[in-house]
Amino acid sequence: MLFTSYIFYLLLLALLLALRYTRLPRVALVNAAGLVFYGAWNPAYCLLLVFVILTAHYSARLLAGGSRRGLLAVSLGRCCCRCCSSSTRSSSWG
Amino acid sequence: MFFKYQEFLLGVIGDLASLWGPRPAFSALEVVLPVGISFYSFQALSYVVDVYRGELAPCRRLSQFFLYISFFPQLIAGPIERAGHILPQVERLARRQRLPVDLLPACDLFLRGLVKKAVFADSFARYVDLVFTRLDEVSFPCILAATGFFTLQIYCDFSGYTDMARGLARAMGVELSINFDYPYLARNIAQFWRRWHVTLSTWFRDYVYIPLGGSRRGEARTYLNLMLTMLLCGLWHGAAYTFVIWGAYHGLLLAVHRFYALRLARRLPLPRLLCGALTLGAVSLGWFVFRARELSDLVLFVHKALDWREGLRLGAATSQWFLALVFVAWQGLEALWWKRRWSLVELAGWRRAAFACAVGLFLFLFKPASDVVFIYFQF
Repeated sequence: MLFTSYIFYLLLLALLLALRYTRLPRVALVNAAGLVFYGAWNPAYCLLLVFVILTAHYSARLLAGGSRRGLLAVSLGRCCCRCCSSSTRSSSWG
Repeated sequence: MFFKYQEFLLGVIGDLASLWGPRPAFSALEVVLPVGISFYSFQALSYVVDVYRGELAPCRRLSQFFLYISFFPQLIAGPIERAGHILPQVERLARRQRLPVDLLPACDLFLRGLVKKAVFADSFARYVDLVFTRLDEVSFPCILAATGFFTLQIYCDFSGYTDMARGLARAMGVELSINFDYPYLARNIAQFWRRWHVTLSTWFRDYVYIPLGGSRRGEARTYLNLMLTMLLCGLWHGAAYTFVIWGAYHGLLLAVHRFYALRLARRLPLPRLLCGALTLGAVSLGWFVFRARELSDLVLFVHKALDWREGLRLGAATSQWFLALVFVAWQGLEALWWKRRWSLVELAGWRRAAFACAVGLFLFLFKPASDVVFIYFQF
């Protein structure tokens, strides 16, 4: 579904009206819209999207809970995480 | 990773093996690459790293995290948002009684993006596609013209998408990051990467370049880090040799610029205009590599350059040249003279109505009949 297609405008209008004038939970509405939008390319893609979301959400919670080492190996690989500290950031390229 | 790179990796292994003997017959799995996978997996990755580093508290509500990743305006082609920027806005969206009612800034951004994409990018695409599919037949000046048009097309296409995404998000009360800041007016390649696809370049800076050591481990290591980061950036764009070369080319440009800035700039200062022209020329040359389908296209480019009179002369249509001029004038005037974006918001009364009508007329007159898919959807 392209931003330039008429079906997109129609669904967008319905979503915006629902967000503004109904008491339906907004986050759930926008999430449903996201799945419809992504599923329009290929419904099977939604499974992958949900898998990525669930993996990231629960790995982060477990990481924050303390079992860092094992999970990190699963979710990221060690290279991203070695020498990261906000105090040593440089602000630009090159 | 698997979806995107398995075929390319098998190809590389096959190519390497063929150097020593017969090429092994690997068969890659037939998978269709899910659209936007590189964008949302990067968002998910940055969230997990931020939580691991202790820079971000994990999101407690799955529904809100779901929205952060699957927010449809930016799901397919970015901007690649950080959780720290979006999650507080999602929480406000969930709590707020009423959404903000001022839709004008949202419409303005969306319309701006629509014009960039539907009028400019799609018109340029027709000439670019024509030349790049007949690269072996056309003459070198045609290739140069098509590369120039592609330079404009990719900017209009991608920044147009970003503007539309930002407009849509704003209509729902969410502010997305700015992704483009007149990148073709950059005076050097480092500045270009601070203005082009800002959310991707800052992602690579924060999660690859700095963890590799950034510029803190000596000069040689800095050049190596730049090369590695840009190689990965090239690979992020696509699993093909052309993207690897494109990444390496930009790594080399960044390294050369750094060397010049540290060692030569004081003794050998260049005029600003020349710096801007050199940067734009180098970036445009890079876009040829980016647009090329195969490595043989790059060889063809060199052959055609050496024999530049040979080949078919396919000219762009007058309307395409006209649109290119209009676009350059629009962006130039906005950035250099007006110093702010032309928008519906700043106009009032009949001026606003007239501006909206003019944009509508422009869309009606110049929008090609068929829609072209956004270039960055393939990544």
